[in-house]
Amino acid sequence: MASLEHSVAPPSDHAATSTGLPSLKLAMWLFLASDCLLFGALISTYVLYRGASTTGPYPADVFDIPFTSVSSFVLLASSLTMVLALAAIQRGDVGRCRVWLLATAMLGMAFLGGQVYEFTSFVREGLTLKTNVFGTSFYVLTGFHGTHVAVGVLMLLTLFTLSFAGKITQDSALTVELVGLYWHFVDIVWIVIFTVVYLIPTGNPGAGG
Amino acid sequence: MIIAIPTGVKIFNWLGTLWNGDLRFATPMLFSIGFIAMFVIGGLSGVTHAVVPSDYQQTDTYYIVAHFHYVLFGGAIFGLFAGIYYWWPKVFGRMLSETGGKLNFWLMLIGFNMTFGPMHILGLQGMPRRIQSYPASLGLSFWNMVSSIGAFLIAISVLVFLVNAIASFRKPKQMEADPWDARTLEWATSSPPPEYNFEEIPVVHSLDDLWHRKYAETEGGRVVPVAAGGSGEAAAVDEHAGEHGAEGGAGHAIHMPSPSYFPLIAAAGFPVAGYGLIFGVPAVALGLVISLVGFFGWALEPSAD
Repeated sequence: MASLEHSVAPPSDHAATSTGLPSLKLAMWLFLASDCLLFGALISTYVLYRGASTTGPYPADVFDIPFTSVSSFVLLASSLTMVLALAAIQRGDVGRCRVWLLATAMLGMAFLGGQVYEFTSFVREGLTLKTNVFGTSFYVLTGFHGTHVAVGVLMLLTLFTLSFAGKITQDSALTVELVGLYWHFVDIVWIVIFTVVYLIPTGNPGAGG
Repeated sequence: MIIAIPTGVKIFNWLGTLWNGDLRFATPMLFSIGFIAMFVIGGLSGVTHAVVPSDYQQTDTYYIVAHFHYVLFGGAIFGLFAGIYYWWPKVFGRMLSETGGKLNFWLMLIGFNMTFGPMHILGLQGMPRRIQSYPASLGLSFWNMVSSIGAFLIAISVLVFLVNAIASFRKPKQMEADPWDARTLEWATSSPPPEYNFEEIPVVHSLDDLWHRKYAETEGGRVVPVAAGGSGEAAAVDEHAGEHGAEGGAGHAIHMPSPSYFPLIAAAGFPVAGYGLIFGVPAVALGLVISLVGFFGWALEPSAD
């Protein structure tokens, strides 16, 4: 992450603004700020309805903490590969960058696979979007996060594909950096979600979780 | 109270802005004054809803319809037309006809009051809302007839506006930057403005900066035009352009994004996906695919320069 903060925008046609930031980067930060509001709202909703479900299944009935811990670790590891991809393109090493981009996308897809598995098993245990407020707020929150990861994977695979057309070079390090900013943001949001939703026990009267 | 006090403050703001001014009763000003007057009537009838016994009588009658039309029509439509007449030359570089504008205003003001004014009376006589037709024996016919005539007058006034709008396009562009001798900065650039608005962002030295570039005050408090500059053209802006060294010489270095159809395609996908949420999942997928095509085309499109 530190390397992101200190990296200098490469010379390109993206003119710097009076803030000293390239306008594309400023736009990405603004987008992330608005995304903070989105997830802030969804997480608040989940917290507000925490323990308010009157029928099961309750969180403690369905959560498989070891499984989700592993998939969380996979997602966090993808932040490392993203940093490596950015470092590689800033050195001008397109080949290495390509490898790390693909690795990041694969880790993201592994996380998504885990989420699909998790959702299916929850539904099998009787928790759907309509079952109770836990189901509603849980699926909306984690579903939105999963969609963000999917969009990120799409962007990573796009960069990966473009690199074969010679469109990802040292000059376009900013593009990789922007995708990286998005990717790290999605990771950080997951840390919050994992902590708030999975790790902090709800203490439902019915489940005693 | 929560509504009345802030609204009252706003009305005094507007009146205070007009107070002691050297008013010119051009069409935008007429509509603005019409707006304030009609809005105040709507506000006053609104206050009567706050009194429980009278509100009990008024609820769901035409008195309510009269009240909220004075607020909505008087407050929004009059203001909207004031804005249209005022900024029409800014947007299109052509003035709307003043004669047509005044005809539009008076027809609308009279038609509006004929339509919605009698509804106060009808409501107090007990005419309820949301009923298709009323027996003639209720004695409500006369004021309803007045109301209907008023509605046609409003329609005619809007027709006058449409004719005025079309006629304005048949005249050549006037290219006068500042037809109203205005105070605010949007009139400092040409009308219609270039895509980039200003070659050089104007440096503002005072409140109503554009005015102070055009006029100065003598020691006796008399307003006199500044010799150079004057109204018209962006001369006032160019004066300041040199001050902080424009990088591209005379400001020709403005970078505009290349024109592109892809944002339109990207946007077109969303309504399709939105309808899909109502009518069926395949349309959601189709809409997202259309949007994705737009996004990727947009991102990968080579820029023209």
